[in-house]
Amino acid sequence: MSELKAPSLQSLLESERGSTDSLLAESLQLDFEDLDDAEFAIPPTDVLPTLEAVLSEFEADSDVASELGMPVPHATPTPSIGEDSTIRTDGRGGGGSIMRYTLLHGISAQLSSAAERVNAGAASSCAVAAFIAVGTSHGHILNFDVTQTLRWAHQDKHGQGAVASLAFNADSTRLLAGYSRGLVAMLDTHTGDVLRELFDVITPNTGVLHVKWTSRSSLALCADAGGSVWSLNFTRKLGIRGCQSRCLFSGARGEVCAVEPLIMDAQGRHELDQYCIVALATLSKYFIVTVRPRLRVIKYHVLQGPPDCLPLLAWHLVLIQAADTTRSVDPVIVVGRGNQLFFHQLFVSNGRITLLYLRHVQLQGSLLSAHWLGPKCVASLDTAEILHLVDVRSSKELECMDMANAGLVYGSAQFKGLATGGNVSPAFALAGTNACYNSVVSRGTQLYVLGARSLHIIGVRTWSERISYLVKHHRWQEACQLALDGYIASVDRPRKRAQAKERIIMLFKEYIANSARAPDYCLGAIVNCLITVGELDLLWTQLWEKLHNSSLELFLQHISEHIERETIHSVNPVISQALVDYWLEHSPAKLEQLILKLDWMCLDLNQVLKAVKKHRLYRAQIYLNTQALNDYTAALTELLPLVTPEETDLGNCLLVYVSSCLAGRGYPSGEIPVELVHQVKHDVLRCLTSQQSKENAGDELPYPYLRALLKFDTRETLNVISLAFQEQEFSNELGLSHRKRIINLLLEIMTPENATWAEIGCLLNFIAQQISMQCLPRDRQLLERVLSHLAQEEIANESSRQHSERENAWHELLSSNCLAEISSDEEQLSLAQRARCYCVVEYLLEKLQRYDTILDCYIRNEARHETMFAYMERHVITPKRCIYGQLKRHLRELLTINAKETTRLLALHYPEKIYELLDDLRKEEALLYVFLKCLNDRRTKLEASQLELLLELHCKLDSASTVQEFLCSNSGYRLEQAIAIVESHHLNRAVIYLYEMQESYTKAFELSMDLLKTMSGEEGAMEARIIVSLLARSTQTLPAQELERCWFVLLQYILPHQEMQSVTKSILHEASQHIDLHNLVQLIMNTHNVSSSFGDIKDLLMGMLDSSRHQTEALRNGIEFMCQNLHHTFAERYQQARRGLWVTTTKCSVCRQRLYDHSQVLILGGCGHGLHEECMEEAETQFEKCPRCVSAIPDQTLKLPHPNKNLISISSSLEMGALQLKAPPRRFS
Amino acid sequence: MATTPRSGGASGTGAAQRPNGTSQNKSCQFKLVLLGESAVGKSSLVLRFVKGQFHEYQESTIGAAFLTQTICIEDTVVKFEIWDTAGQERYHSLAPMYYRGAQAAIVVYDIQNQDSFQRAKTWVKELHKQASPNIVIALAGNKADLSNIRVVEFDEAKQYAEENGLLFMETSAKTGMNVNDIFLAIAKKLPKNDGANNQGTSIRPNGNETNRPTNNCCK
Repeated sequence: MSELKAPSLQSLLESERGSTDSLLAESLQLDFEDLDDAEFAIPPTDVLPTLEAVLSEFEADSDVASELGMPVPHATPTPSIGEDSTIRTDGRGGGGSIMRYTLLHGISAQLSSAAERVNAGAASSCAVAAFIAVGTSHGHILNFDVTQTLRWAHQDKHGQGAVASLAFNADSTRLLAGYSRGLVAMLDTHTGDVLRELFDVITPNTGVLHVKWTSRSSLALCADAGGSVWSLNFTRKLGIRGCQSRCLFSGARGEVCAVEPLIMDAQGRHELDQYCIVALATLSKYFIVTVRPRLRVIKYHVLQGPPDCLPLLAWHLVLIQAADTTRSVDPVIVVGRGNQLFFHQLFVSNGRITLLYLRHVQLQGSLLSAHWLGPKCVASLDTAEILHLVDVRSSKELECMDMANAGLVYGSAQFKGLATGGNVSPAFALAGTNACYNSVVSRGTQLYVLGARSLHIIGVRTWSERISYLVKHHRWQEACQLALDGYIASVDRPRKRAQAKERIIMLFKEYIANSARAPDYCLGAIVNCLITVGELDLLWTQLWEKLHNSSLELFLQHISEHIERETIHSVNPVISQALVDYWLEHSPAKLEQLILKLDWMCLDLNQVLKAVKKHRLYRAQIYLNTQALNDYTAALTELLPLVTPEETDLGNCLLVYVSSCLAGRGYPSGEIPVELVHQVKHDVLRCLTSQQSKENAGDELPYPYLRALLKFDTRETLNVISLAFQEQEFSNELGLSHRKRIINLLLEIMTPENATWAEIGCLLNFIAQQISMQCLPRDRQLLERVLSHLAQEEIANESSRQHSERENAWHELLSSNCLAEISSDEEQLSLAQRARCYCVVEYLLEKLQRYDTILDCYIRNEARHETMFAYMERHVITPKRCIYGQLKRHLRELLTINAKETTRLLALHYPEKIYELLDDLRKEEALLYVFLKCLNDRRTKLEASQLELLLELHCKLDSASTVQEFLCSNSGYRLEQAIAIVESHHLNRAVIYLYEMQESYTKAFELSMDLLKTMSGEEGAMEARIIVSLLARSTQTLPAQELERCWFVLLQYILPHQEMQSVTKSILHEASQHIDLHNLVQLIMNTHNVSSSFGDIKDLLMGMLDSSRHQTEALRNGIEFMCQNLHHTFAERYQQARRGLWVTTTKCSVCRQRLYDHSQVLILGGCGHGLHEECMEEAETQFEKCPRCVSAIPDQTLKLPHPNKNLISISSSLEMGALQLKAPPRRFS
Repeated sequence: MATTPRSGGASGTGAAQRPNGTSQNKSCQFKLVLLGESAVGKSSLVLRFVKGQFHEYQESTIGAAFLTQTICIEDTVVKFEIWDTAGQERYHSLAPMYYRGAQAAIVVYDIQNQDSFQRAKTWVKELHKQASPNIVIALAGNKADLSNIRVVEFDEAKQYAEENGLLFMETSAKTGMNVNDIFLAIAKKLPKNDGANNQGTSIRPNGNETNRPTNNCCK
């Protein structure tokens, strides 16, 4: 609170905790003031229509504006949101249907003429109440009434500059005007008389920014360019008008940019009525204060934002639904700055005024203004002059409109204090560039935008108005969509829903009235609308009567769509007639669909039934017969005679129908009413089993209906009957007799003359099943009949399925023990064996515990061969089943059926018996072979003799390649024997393989050659390759001469053969690695006719030449190198030999005696140190280094000749010039 | 779509397009049901009234057929929605569905057939018992062109009609005698003072109208 230290607030802040009892006194005092104020209120004039009402009347709209050459602001095509914030994703959006733009032509024209004729200047501010007042930059005020008539004009005589701000009081009797040089004037709105001129109510030498009336009729507020706020308390004492000005807030403590008093015009009383509340905003914060009864700060808040943005304030009363479902109407202030909007609710709780944060909305672009348009929307203009309409509840932007063409007036001159010499703070001046507090004002749901010479209104259309707007522009599609959206959104508000419905009906009437020329335009949308709101009668009567030929079809299509989607179930009979006619013509199948979905009562039965009969719409026919006529038999009597085996659809349809009827279900869907079920079942059954058809032609066979069904599909019919037998109607005493009767009927119908054996078989199987399921009494006669069928030895054309069904039936009869009375098991057994019903046989054998022959049943029944092995596997451990015995007996069959499984079984469970079995099979080579092979494949350990036996069998019975394979994959056999066996079968390749295994390559080669000689062409080439690889493998083993011989043999054979040419080259290449090229070429030259195959040996020859050249070269190089080497050695020796010596010491390096005293002197190296040979010998080491100076000793040690005295005495041996000891020494390099 | 009957006079189409018609052009919609034994000429009667046609060999109706006709009496456009029920016994159970919501019924008998007259009496009884209490019932003795071989006397039927408060006429679908007249008579007798109310009342055969106000009867 320390920030709020304006002088006038000072005392207030100190007495913050002021007692509430003084409030009463002050309010009394205020009442007194109100009385005072009422006194100078002029008697009210005739009640005028409200401004909104009048302005809404002339929806001048854009077309007129464009005629006058005014640029029309266009709604930008942003996606907008429906009134109830249902988001429309189709991208069309409201299409500008929410905001209504109007240019006030009358006022605009007056403004223009005022500017031109009386030099009033451009408009600078405006105010709207019951009048519209516009102030200009040259101090003129023009007051218009609601009809845009100029009531009066006032010109300021004092040169106070532009009219900065205007304000009407609550009853529009007084207009307060603030000028940019500081004058505040009060005018009578009806006459234009100046009532007060106040020159000194604000900070001296500043301009007025805002004048505002508060909720108290004699109290106004005025903000100046210095940032101070003044309260103007108007008095009239003794007829003299006066004014007390008091500084509420000093600009020195923060400059106030925006002032917004709370005006509560609600009819109902509000707790806040007794207070006079004002919202103030500076560039850094905003605060809510009460001015009356006492000056007091309720709340202040920091308000951040860009420096060039002004704070924005606006109040509105909003119905607020709290979380605890209590509702209250409270003032809500919207505070905006930059691109943010904050909403706060002001209410009284526990005697204290509280400000509650509600929500926050962020927009794009920074804002110029923010105003409430009604309690739901906020309109805000951004710096690009685009007007955004924001739905407060959903925080969504509904629509936006470009206002750039309106020529919006800015109040920046006032904020910059241009009229008073620019004496404002820089921050204030900067923020003030975008000020339009006084040029954008709101009233009710309308926003007034003041242009320099024009005034524009933006209104918000209600849902209903939006529909009207769209209708007016013939945008029916959107109108319908909007209407439906509204209707759907009002789902849980009955009153609103009724209104919405009414509006939709109105929309429909407008449509009817407007669509005379093109009634099918947007028909679908309208139909959809009416169906959704349930106004079907309008659809049938008014819309229908309106339509013409082509649109009728469209209408019918739409209706059909709705029927298919099941949004309507019933239509007007007139429509249904047309619908039936239409679809009969276009698609009878579709008609059937529609009929099935429609309530039959709206159909013209006469028409529809005749049509469905004619077009064979069976389902529809059945549906209508059952639903409408309650006649469940008609379908049968009418349709069954039509059934033929070709009419599968009808036949199946009827089968299902009969089945569902007998089960008490409706067809094609639903249930038969409970009270009817019994009757229906009875009727259908009776109809089905009736002896004669309705139109008895006399020559028909008895039971035509049942017969027709059986004829169509015996099996399925019997299925239907068996399903029906499970119903409770058939389960009691009476039901049993019914069953018997039906069975008898069936037997009567299915005589061999009238039915195929297969069909009769079906029937008998069916009966057998029924008997075994205890569904039929065990009638001996019947059973005998059934059994005779089941036990038939041979039935012509019996499919395996029929046979297995027969078996199954028999089996079931047996297992339910139904046949015990008729015949013994033994008889049955023989019957079954004769009838080849091996399942039955097996069952009986099991029953009689005669396990030893069970395998026979399996073997004879091809279909069960697979299960046989499972059977054996299962029982192999049970000795009494004598599996082995049977296995042994049937070994041959089993091996033929599935050798692998048999072998597996034997190898797994009876490994010790295998040799015995092999012995058994000695004579049957084929089986033996299979058996052995399987055993071998199972990797059972076999003896060599067995393997050889297998090999022999392989040779006998199988192809050469498998023999080869066998040989390769096995190793247990003896090679000699194997060779003998294979040779005896002349399987050369296998023999070759074996030879190779034996490492007798020569034999292998020779045999191969024999083989090769028998072949020709591609085969030969292949063979030759094989031989080549054989020879390559033999390299390690064969002696070289033998190998070469082999190669030669091969080549000698191959080369002359033309057909081998393809491989010749590669073989030659291969050969060249193993044999002498010289011989090879010779061979080629000898055996070849060069002309034809020079190309083949060319490479070979070239290779030979190459290698020869190479060798010659190598030889020459070798010689050269050796010579060089020799020369080097020689030169070295020579050099060493010519080397001189300089012995630098006179003592031996070892014994330290005189060097020349003793025998031989050795000079060890280039260092010139010498030693005695004796010393060397004494040391018994070969010095590698000079013992004196440790320098390396070169290769040879020079031995000086025996010391010669003469030689030493230099002086006396001059003549001995041979040894020039004083010659310059030569050092070894 | 419906042709204007010859006796209708003024055209009825103009009024049908004006839902909020003025008092001069009221429009009403009534549901009328035809009952009677099979082969007495119900379908022929309707066909004569609606299309002005007559077929010597009219197929028997299955279930029920639906037709509409608009006529004008004085200043009111009356639209009849006519349900022509099938007379065969097997369709008898269907009839209540249709007469339950009807404002008018024509019970037809064959003047050559005493049984059909008896059947007609049963129908009237059933209607009195089960239909809407305000239902306007007309008794039509059809095949009047064959009056020389009549079995049911005119006076007998007339007396029965008067006793039971029925409209009565002898008609002939073949010659067209009294056909339009009987429909016109019914239209006159039907309450028309609340056209808007009648309009759009149930057009479905089973509409529940038993709670209609009783003070509408104009005679």
